[in-house]
Amino acid sequence: MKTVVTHMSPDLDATTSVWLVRKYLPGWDSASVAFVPAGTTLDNKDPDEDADIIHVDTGFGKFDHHQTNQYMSAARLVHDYLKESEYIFKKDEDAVERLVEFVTVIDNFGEVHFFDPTADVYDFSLHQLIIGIKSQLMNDGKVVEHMTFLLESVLQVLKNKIRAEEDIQDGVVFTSRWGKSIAMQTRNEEALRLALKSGYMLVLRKDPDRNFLNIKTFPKPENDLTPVYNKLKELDPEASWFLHASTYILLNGWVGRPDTHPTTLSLPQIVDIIKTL
Amino acid sequence: MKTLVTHIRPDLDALASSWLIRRYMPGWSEARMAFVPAGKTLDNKGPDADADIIHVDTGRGNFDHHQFKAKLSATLIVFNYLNEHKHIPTNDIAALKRLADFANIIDNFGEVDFPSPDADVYDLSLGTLIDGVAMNESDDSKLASYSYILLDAAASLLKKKVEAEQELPRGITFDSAMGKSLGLSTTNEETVKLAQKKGYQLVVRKDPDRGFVRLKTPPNPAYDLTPIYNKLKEADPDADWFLHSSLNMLLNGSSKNPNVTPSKLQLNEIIDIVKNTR
Repeated sequence: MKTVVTHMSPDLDATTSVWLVRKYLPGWDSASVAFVPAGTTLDNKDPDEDADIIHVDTGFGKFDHHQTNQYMSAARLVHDYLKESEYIFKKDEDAVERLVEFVTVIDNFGEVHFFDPTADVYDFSLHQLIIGIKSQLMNDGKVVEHMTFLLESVLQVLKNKIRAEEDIQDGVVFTSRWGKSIAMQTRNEEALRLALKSGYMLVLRKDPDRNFLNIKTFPKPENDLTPVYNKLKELDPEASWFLHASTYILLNGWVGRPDTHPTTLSLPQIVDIIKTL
Repeated sequence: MKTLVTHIRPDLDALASSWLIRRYMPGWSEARMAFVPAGKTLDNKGPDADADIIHVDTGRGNFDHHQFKAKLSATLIVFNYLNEHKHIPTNDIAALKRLADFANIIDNFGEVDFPSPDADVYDLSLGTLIDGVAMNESDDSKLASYSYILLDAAASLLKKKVEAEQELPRGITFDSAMGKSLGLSTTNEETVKLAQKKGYQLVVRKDPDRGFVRLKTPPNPAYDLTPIYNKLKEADPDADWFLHSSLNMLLNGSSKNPNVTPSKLQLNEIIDIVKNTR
């Protein structure tokens, strides 16, 4: 039976390290997890003497970093080993790298250097949530299992973000009355949000599979999508159009409303319509 | 049987508003969940027609906001209702208000105004995390149950932060070799992080219940706690002292290692040692 050992009251670095080992190291996906007082090892044996026991973030072995004053984390050490051994799936590599870098920043208390570091927004982030999760669950094993599920979600989020960065690169940039605009053909909803965060004032996304269309503007009062809504309703009255009360969001189809009808208008047609408004 | 209705594929606003009802509305903690297409109501009835059915973030009733242009959210509406009706314990109000404000920002895409809005740190935050969980969990009820744990976690952490904000002014401010320093007698570890984020260059915390002591500086290679470590070891050799390899943390006790002998030194004694170590 393989065992991953980490310290009691596991933090983000410990839980991420356990997740990495169980997700990517061949033969370790069903490994049990054991917890020891921080710095110690299972049964006080050498941390790296048993091939069926891996210590992470404790024990001063090859996957611990408390013996060095370098900018380092256990997750980084595990990641670098897995990467060198080519165990991390190619499609996951970039996202895992970004997650591990975040964990390393946090494990070195890098959040003290964030802009406005006391802002609440950071308290809703993974590294702070785990503190709340620990106080709710009061069981190290349950914490690891919950964090495993959460880290799988984070991986998906970051993979979508990386795809969104590529979608934006492939998008059609044009100018509309709202300012710098972009049209993208992608299933990835994240592309839309990221484009707005990246400075676009109007963003169109057409889902190539389901043909649904989303249009969003940067949320400010002058960015009213009512003229687009009226024109598209006129040109394709059979499609379902929903103008959000804010007037910054125009939806034709949404995961929360599977009963809606997609538009028959193509993305280039819609871009042309918006350009003429 | 009470029923809490929200839209299918619930987002942070739908989940936080339903979580508030279950946690704080008297008699609703065991309410069953139902999910309808966004904007709709259960069985197409009026959203507020049945006292045993509450619609949140859908249906355009008392606890929806899609009928208003203002920057509102179902979470903020529910919070205001619960607060006005005094259903929220006094100790929880400040933390929940901040949680509701955050949900409101996210539901109005306010993250576009965050500094460096495309930074990864925001992608690891509650709203996006729930979206990520939804990608891996197709059952809306399971998604809700899982998200409620995250919301409980966020609320408990915010309560600690609010308490930390109240505790910092009661701390002992002093000068040390590192600069502006603070001594605290508290069980709340959030005080240590918050004090450093607020500019203190050294924080000493003594746990009044268990006697454990922690000294931390911001991550800075110029700061070295070795001289203080040596003095404290000399002053209390029976206690376990762990100097972190960064030299920015000196720990006597931790939830990560409960097998530690706490220091007998009082907070003022430790502060005196720190002040006199240059």
